[in-house]
Amino acid sequence: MVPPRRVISIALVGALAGGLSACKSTPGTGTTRFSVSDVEFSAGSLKTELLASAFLDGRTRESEPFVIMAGDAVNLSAERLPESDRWGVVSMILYDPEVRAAFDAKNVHVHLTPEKRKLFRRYVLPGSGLDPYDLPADTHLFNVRFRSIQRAAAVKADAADVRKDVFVVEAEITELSSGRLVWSGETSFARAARGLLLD
Amino acid sequence: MRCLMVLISVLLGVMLGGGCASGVRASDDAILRAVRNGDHGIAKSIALRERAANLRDKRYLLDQELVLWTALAEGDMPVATRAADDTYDFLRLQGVNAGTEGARFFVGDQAARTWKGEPFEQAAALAAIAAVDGVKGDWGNMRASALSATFQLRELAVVEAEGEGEVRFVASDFEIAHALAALGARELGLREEMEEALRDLAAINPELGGLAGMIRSGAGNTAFIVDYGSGPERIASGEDGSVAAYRERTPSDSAELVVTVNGRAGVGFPVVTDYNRLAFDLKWTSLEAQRRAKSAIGTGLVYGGIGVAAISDDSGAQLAGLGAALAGLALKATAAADTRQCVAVPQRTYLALVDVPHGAGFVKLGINGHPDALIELPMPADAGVFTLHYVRLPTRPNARTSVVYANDAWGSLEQPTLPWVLGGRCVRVPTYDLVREYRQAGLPEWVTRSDLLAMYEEEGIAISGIGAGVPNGVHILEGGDALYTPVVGSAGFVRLFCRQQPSYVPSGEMAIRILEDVR
Repeated sequence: MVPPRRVISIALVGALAGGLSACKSTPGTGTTRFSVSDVEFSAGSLKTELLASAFLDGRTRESEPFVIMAGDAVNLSAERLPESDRWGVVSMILYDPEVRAAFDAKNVHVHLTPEKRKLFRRYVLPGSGLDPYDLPADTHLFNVRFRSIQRAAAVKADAADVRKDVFVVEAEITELSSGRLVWSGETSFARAARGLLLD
Repeated sequence: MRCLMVLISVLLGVMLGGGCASGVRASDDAILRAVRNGDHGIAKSIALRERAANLRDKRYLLDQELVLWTALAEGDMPVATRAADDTYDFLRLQGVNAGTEGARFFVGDQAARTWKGEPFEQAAALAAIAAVDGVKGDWGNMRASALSATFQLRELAVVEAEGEGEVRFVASDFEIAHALAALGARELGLREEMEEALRDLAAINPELGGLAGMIRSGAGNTAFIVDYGSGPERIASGEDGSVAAYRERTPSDSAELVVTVNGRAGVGFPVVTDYNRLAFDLKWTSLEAQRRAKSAIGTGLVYGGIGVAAISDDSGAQLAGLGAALAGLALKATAAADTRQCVAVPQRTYLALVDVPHGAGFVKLGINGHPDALIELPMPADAGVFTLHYVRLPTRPNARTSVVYANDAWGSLEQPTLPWVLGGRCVRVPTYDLVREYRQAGLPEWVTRSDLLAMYEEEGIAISGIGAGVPNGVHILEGGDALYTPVVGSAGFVRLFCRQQPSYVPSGEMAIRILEDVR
């Protein structure tokens, strides 16, 4: 028969080791949040669609100028998306070197929104020639929308410990004079993560 | 035997030492007092100074939430936005404390990697994030944050698993999240979703049917999220403090919020969410069973061990009994519930929708039966768009309606004025346009925008958005070293810009040179 004090010793050592090893372990965290790589993926995918679109096809440097205003980046998803990420998609499409080269070759220009122009102007020295109000009128509007679908399930826990989010990113260009949609693109991707959200 | 005694001592040390690691900081009490008094600038400054910046710090999330709540109450949107981003990021992390369950049994709640807070605190933080987004007019993010708040509570309310891990949820009863989700959906043109959220809202509390109707019909061009009081205090109760309980700080009642626009007859709005109720209804108890078990086992070991030691004639058995009793004491000592919490959560939330006529005016917010919970907000000539304001009502009257300091949220006063540090009434960030206005007020022609920025730097004043970005301090008008601008319609705006503040005595070379020329 094992002596009682040995039993207690083993129990104490086990408790101590268990407690300390658990304290040392690293977090096994995950998230389905929209990330920087998602910004890059979405912009890259939409950029490819735009470059291959009929909107640019057939245009030359001598074509009538198009002036696209970056309008809005609306979040219709169930995920809070920082403004920087939303505008990241817009800017990574419209200011992508390939897109800029194509726009230059096809007489297409890009403008800031009126709100952003105001911010720009606040710190631009008057008379510097950089006043963003000295620009030709906009002819087209560029908008991006973000949507998502959420799914949650329970694998191990009583509460949901698996989550999957499917994101859909849509971009479109509208002709301002007619309201006609002249280009639209869409891309989607899914993100999944495990682990309790509440703890 | 010596080995046994050493092990017992080490275990006791770890457990008792760990047991002392939790608790409420002195700074939490200072924040609580400042928030109650409406001194949100001071509360925000303490929260910023004391916050844990390291993601691996156990208090990381609670500290971000303190900054979020206090900056939102102050109306300091750059600080509130950053705290909202950090808080949301962390709340959306899954499995932060996965694998620590065993350690939490032995060492207590402090073995958690990060304390995420009770479900109601998490949901409240998401509602605060939604408010930040709403004040900024970002309806998409406001709706998303509000939806996330309902998701957090839905997770807790899972009723059964079906098939291969499929989960069926019951609806969350977090009223303010449904209301804000509906408001956001309305502003985004998502009518069907808005209707669903409003149906949920009215089903949770039929008294909110009137508010639901106002949201549906688009009544009012201005919304106010109004918070009042302090959320419940988390205390350890029961055997060995093993039960996490709540005690009201601000008692619950159903007193209406009364909103008066330009002195017209007031309109009453019911309490939307009572955080006392949420805390009592939905407190997280996943660790409570463990704590109770520890307490019970510990008690058993103590009595059993002492009994064995007392009745046995064998010295080994006596020693074993003594060891068991000590182990029992150690278990009991670490059974207490962790009382860390976010002390800035309000007791209640209202949502009011009113029409503020075109042209400048004022809106008075007060709670029936709470004469100290009163504030008058100066409102600018609106731009014709729907706006949302967040107001944390003080527990002392704060009724002032005229703006006496020019600031970046309001603009100029009727007459051009110099910067406050030069004896004027302007606390705006210097721009080229503003320098022209200052010249009309007597600023010497040779002074440039750069000179003014240098002057602020010499005075040791940090400007929000310039240089280091977000200053941590108290506003210069209240004797601090930070220049920032609370948004219109916030308690911070009224406290700073709508009452006479002490004058400033500059000490820097640039300010003194400028003042010599002004005279």
